[in-house]
Amino acid sequence: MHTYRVWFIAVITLFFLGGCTDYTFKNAVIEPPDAAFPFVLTDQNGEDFSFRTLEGKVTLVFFGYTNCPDICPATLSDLQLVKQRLGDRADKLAIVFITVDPERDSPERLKRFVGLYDTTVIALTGQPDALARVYQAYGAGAQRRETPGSALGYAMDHTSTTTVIDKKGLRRLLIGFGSPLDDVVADVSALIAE
Amino acid sequence: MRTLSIIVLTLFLTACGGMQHTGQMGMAVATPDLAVTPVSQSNGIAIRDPWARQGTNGDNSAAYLVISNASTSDTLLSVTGDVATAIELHTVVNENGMMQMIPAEGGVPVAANGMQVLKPGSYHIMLIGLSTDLKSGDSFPLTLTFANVGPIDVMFEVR
Repeated sequence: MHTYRVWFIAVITLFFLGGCTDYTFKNAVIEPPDAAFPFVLTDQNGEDFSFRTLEGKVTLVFFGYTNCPDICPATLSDLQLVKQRLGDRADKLAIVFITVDPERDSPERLKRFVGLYDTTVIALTGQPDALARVYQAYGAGAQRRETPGSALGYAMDHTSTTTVIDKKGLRRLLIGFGSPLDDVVADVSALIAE
Repeated sequence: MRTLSIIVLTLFLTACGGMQHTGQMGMAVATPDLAVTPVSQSNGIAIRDPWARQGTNGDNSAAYLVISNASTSDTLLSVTGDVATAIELHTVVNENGMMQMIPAEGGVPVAANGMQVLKPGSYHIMLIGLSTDLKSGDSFPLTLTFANVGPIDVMFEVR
């Protein structure tokens, strides 16, 4: 009986040790991972920005626009929290914000907007055709909707999903709006550790 | 022996997933705590945790709060103030992953003896065309007008 108990504990221990090494992602996994579309767009300083320069970092890509007062600042603010919680691993994470409203979002405007949260965020705009290819590659939907009766002029309906790209440039995870921050931190940490 | 098993289990569970819960993406706000003294109240309507996001003069921002109602059903009809050119009530609808921000037609309902939380990704007060920079730590007043209880002045803290 005593031997049985020892074995029981040994099995349980191995089970949980195994659970630690074979990390199970908490957000939606892209299976199999695919190569992220290697865009070249214009950053908030008006300079060309190439996706290739992100190699070696875990990258979070999300889409939005600066006139969006709710979802986009909320996402930006949360991703900043994620970065803070990584502590000294924060430099292994890149946050990329791509506009769905290039008509209004100039590099200056993008710079002002992301600068409110985190100046290390890479905010990108570009020619409509170049952006359209990026939206398609990342499954980002964006649609202009007139808002008569509102001082906003028009709103951009857009997807709120954040794509997680690993250090090798593969699309690995999709984070939905409302995903617990702890899960995001855990998943990003696991990818940094790979 | 059983105690030892539990200790071992706890150790490994903690090692694998020991994290504090601080919020969700887009919703990094605490659960409304009705034990907190309201910042404003009038005839059964109480206002807690009014806050707004940082923003730059000329740009847009949003303001949020918790409304609780100890009386009959009411509606937040409009919000006014000098902080922005236009102040509107909007909500967000998640249509198969597409986030649509739409005006809250007819205002924001507050059920009888109920609560309505204005928060990111849901009902919010939209500040369009800020008349000043909003920096963390600043505060500014808005007047909330309800269908039944009328106007309530509330100070919002910028975070």
